[in-house]
Amino acid sequence: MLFSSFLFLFGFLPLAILAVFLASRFFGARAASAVLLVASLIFYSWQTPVYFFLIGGSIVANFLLGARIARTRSKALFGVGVAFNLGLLGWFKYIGLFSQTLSDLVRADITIDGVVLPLAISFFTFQQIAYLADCLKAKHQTYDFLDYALFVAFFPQLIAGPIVHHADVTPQFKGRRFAKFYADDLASGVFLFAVGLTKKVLIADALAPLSDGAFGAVAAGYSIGLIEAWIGVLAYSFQIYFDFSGYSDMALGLALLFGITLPMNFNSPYKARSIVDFWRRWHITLSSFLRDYLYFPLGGNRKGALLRYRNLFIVMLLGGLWHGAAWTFVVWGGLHGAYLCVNHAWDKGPGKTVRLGAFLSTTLTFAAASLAWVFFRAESFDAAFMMLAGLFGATQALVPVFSEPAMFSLPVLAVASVIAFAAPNALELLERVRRPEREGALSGGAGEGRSLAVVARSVAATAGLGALCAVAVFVLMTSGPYEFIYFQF
Amino acid sequence: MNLFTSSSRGRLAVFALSCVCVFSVMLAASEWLVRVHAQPADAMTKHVALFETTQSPYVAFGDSHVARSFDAQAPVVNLGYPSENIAKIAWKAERYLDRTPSPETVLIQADPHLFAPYRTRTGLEGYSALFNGDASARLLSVSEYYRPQLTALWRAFVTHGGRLESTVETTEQGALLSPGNLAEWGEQKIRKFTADRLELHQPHPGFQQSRAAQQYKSMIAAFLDRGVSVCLVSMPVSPYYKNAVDALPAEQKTGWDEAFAFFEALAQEDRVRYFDHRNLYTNLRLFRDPDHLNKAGAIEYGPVLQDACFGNVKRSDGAQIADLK
Repeated sequence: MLFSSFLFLFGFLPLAILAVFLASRFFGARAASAVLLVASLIFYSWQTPVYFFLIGGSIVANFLLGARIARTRSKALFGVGVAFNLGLLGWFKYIGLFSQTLSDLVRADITIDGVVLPLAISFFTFQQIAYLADCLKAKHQTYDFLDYALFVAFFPQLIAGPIVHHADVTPQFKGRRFAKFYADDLASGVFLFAVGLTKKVLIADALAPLSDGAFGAVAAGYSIGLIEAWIGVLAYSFQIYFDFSGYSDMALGLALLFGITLPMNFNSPYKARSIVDFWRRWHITLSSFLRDYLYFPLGGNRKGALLRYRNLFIVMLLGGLWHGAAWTFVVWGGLHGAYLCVNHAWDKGPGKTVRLGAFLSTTLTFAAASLAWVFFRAESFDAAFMMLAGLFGATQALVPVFSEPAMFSLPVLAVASVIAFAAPNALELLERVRRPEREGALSGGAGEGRSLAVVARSVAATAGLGALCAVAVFVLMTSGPYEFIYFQF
Repeated sequence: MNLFTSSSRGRLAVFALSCVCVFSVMLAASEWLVRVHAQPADAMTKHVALFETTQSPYVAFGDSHVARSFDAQAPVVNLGYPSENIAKIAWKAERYLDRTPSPETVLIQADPHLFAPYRTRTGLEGYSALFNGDASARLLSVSEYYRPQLTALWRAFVTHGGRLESTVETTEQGALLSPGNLAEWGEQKIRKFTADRLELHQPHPGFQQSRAAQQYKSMIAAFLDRGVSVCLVSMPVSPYYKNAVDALPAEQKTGWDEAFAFFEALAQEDRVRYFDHRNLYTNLRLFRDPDHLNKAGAIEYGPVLQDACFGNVKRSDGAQIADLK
């Protein structure tokens, strides 16, 4: 079920809120947790009911393993748990890639295809491996099964993150705000959800015809010109940002409706002034997971510069592979690994004395990220190299790359770039509209004039967002929802 | 003092009010666009009127390949319409049979793409409401027919300076004669377009067992039960399209070969004939795109197809078309 579908917006969500509210009101927070868990499992299994057994089995197995690991501190058992989770992920996500690669190497057809990737498996696998690792270190609280199951299956974050840490979320299920539906939580939740919906429908989906046109042409083997290539790559850079950050905003907003605060996942990444900065702002919860559960165990930066670079490279290669079962994703990760190594080397050397300035460093960072997106989006290496050739003006377009309707997306590309580079992000916007409440703006006194202006801006921003949300719903009504890009990972 | 607007409840109210107001304005504007501009210019409106009133015993059914490529002459009526899938064609055929006293000959399109997933995964999509026509009482803009087109309609309306004018000419006998000239496209553009079309047109693997194939066979059986002669036709396509199909790798071409074998097998029935007209024209000036004839092509092809399928029918001017049987 997509957040940006009518079924979710006007069917599942109101019913889930009503059911959890009634359960909380008449039977207490535990009943609300149970109802929310059931709703989350329905949400997950809606399109493919058999996946209920996959996620259900994974939750039960990991809960039992976690309890046993915490009791025995058994590294062997922890190994079994990690192998179980990675085995599931490996089978469903990577068996096609690995069997195809092996087939190519040994020149025999031993490919295994037709294995369908279940939704969210990459996300709930990571969350549960982190849980098992913390059980081994006894860093976690002891959770009961209901809390644990809800932590994994909680529908706002289930499909595409944020990759929440059990210690951040599980205690909130017993917190005072959970399932109380306070007006502030509702208002803030609706605000964040509306920002996300607007970003997804009015920007990300509107850019799809441009990126699809350009990448579709190179995938079909047609050369592409300089301008078309840059339009396609820039469109994709903004499409994936607004798509994924829009989804994250919606997830944060939905969780807030139930009184749960999820961690921030995007902090205006295209404003980053270096690749290191970029990864502190892009998919923050994935970066944190990779840092805590892969980079640090590998040794982090404690054993000298060379090993640090090696560790960074390994982490980014695996991070690339996590994103998709194709070698192009590994190259994308490898490029970012290389970028990070160069960035750290620069900081240790010339960067101590040479300052590039905000504009140049931001532009360089964005250009590097955009070039890497070519491998992330392209369907093959041939297509990626053809796109790169276009980007550097080495080829000409021999066929029309963009359809006539796609040209309507060009103004959206301009708006997207202004928002990505200059506008506040969703959480910053939320803080601004909440300012009158926090400051008790109209309590009288000398600052009343200034406060009235703050209130006016807050009302205007809220009304403006309501209007944009209406346009987004109207567009959804007329054209239907596009799937979120990150659902495939 | 605490203003309503500075509270959380106030924010929710402002948001909801703004959302509802803007949505209502957009809906009202779209309703105006559809009723005032789109519907009067829409070929579908004329098509529905023709379909609902025709009593001709000689009709043609199919999607855009039939609608655009067959310039039918009276008494033959072209009841094809773009994007129709087998579900819609069969629904219209059933309705036609129900109310036509003595149907005699029917042309049914026999192209493999009718069994491609992009066609078979859709159903009637509000066709019955569209043809049952109490449109004035409903919100047309949210009907299943106009709703998915609203974005494109607004785009066209803005692009054309506040007007919506169809470039397609609807004839009295129902053909949709289209502008366009494939000869002006250029080689690379044709090849890319054709490759994209073929990917879309690839018949569903094992389509013979599909619901669409069963519907197709049932539709033909229903005509035969009423004593109607059935003429299956694979419509003309450009040499680029035909050659691209022939050049497909074996695993992809199988579906196309099976589709033509399927049509030929159906033609083994008494009173069912099958014409494969894919190769009929090589002159690119007769095509609007790689798989549709343009107006000139439809006018040239019209008598040929009419002779083939309805050859024993007297034209409205009284002339006897050669009986092919």
